[in-house]
Amino acid sequence: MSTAASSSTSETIAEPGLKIKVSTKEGEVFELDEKVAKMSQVIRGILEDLGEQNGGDDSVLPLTQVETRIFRKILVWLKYHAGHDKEEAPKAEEDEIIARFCEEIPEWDQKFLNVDQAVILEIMLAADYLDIKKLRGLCCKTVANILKTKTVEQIREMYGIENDFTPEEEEEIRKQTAWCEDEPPRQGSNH
Amino acid sequence: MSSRRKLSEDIHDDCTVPKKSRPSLENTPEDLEAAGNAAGELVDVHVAPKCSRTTVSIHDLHENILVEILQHLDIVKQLALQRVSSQWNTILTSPSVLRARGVDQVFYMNHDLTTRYIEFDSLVDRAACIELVHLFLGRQIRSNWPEHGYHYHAFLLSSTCDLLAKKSPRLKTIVLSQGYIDKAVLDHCLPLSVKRVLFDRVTVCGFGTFPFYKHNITIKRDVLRTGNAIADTEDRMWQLGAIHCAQLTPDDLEATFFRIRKAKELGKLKYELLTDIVESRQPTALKDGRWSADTSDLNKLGNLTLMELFTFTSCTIYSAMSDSV
Repeated sequence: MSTAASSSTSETIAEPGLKIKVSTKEGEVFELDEKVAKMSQVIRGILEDLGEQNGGDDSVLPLTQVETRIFRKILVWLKYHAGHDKEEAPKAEEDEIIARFCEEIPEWDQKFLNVDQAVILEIMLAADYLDIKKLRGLCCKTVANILKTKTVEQIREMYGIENDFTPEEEEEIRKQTAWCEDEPPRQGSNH
Repeated sequence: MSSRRKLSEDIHDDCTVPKKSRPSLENTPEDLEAAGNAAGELVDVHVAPKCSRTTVSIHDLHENILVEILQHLDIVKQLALQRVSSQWNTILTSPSVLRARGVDQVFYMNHDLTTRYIEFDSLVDRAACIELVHLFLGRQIRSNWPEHGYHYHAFLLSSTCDLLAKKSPRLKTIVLSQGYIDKAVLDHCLPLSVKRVLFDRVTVCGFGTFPFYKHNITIKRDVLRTGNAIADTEDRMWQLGAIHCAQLTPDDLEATFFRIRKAKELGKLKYELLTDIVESRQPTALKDGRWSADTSDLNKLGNLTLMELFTFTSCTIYSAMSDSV
C-alpha cells in the first residue's frame, strides 16, 4: 500500500469502527467507514490482500484515477446505500439479469444522477474503476434511458458530435440498419 | 454538530468556486444536495471549472460499460447509435463489442445477408400488422452452427421480439424455437435471455417444447387478413401428418378459413426462399435472387422439411393458438 505523504484535505468522521483512508487523484485524503469503503470491490480486495490488521494504520489507499469532485459524489452515494441497502443473498444469474435490466431506478438514485451527462459518465468511469457494480449499473441505465428518448440527431447535438459520414457512408450504413427501422423497406407482395 | 455536518462544511469551505458562479456543467447541485439531505448525508459538491467538459466521447467509456449501456437498449436503438458518427459506428461494430452484444456476425454480412435481414423484417413487420396474439419463431439458418449461428439466431429472435412487441398490440406470446441450438448456449446469450423477461405484457416462452404440437392449428383468415402468414412445424409434425403450413398470399384474401393437413393441399401455395438458406438442395428456378415455386415443386425438395423450407423467410405464426390449445 502506498502512502499519500501529504494531502490538502483530511476529513475525519468521528465514528467508531475501523477507518479506511483513501486518497484521490489530487492527493486529497478521505477517511471512510470500513463498511462504506468495502462497497468498492477494489478497496475490499486490497484490504483483504493486505489483511485487516493493517487497515487501521496510517496507510492511505491511492485511488489515482478518481478526481476529488467525483469521489465526493460517489461518497454521497456510498454512504446513503451503506445505510439503506439491505444485505441481500447472492442472486442467481437470471435473477441478477432481471434485477439489472428490469428494475426501475430508485427515486433517490434518480435524483443523485440528475446531473449533467458528462458528470454521469465520470461517475460511471469512477464506479467502474472502483468496481462498484451497482452504481456503475445505475449510471449505465440512466444513460441508456436518456439515449432511448433521443434521435440520432439529438444524440449528436447532446454530445457535440459532428456527423462525419460521407453521404455514401451514411447511405451504406442506413442500408445495413434499414431492416430494423420503424418503417422498413417494403418488399414485393409475392412474399 | 455531527461529524457528517463537519464533513459537509469542510468541503464547502474548501470550495474555491462560489456557488452562484459554478459552471453549468453540473447544473443540478440542488438535486444532489437534496439527495444527500434525504440520505442524511449532507455533502456539498462542486466542480472545478478546469474540469468542465462540454463534449463526451464514446471513447471515454470502457468497453464493458459501453456494452452494459447497450444492453439496456433494444436492437433498433443500438443500430441507430451506429449512425451517430463514424467513430461510434466503428466502436459499436468492433468484433468484441458485437460479440458482447450477442450480435457478432451481423455486421459482417454480405449483400445477400443484408437482403435476408430486410426480407425477414418485412415478414415480421407484416406479421406485426395483423392482430397477432401468439407467435412462434422457428429456427434459422443451419449453416455454420453453432460457430457463427447462435448469436445470429439470438439477434434475430431478439430483434424480432423487439419489433413485434412494439408493433403488435395484441401480442401475448412469443415462442422461441430451440432449433439446432443448444439451450445452454442460447440461455447465455444475454440479449435473448433478457428479452425473455423484459416484455411486461408479452410472455416469451422457452425453447423447444411446445405443448400445442399435438393440436391442429386453425388459421382464421380474419386474423391473418394481410396474408403472408406461415404456420409450420418441426419434422415430427410433418411425420405425424399434422402439418399446418400455409403461406397466404393476397390471392387468398377471400378465404376465411384454413385447416391444412398437408402442404400439398394448398394447391396455390407459394413460397420463396433465399438461395443460400437451402443452398444447392433447392432445385427450382431462381428469380431475382429468390426461389419461387408452387406446391407441385415440393416433391423436388428431397429431404427438406417444411420447417427448413420456410425457416428464414418466415416467422411461424400460430395466430389462433389460443383457440387451438
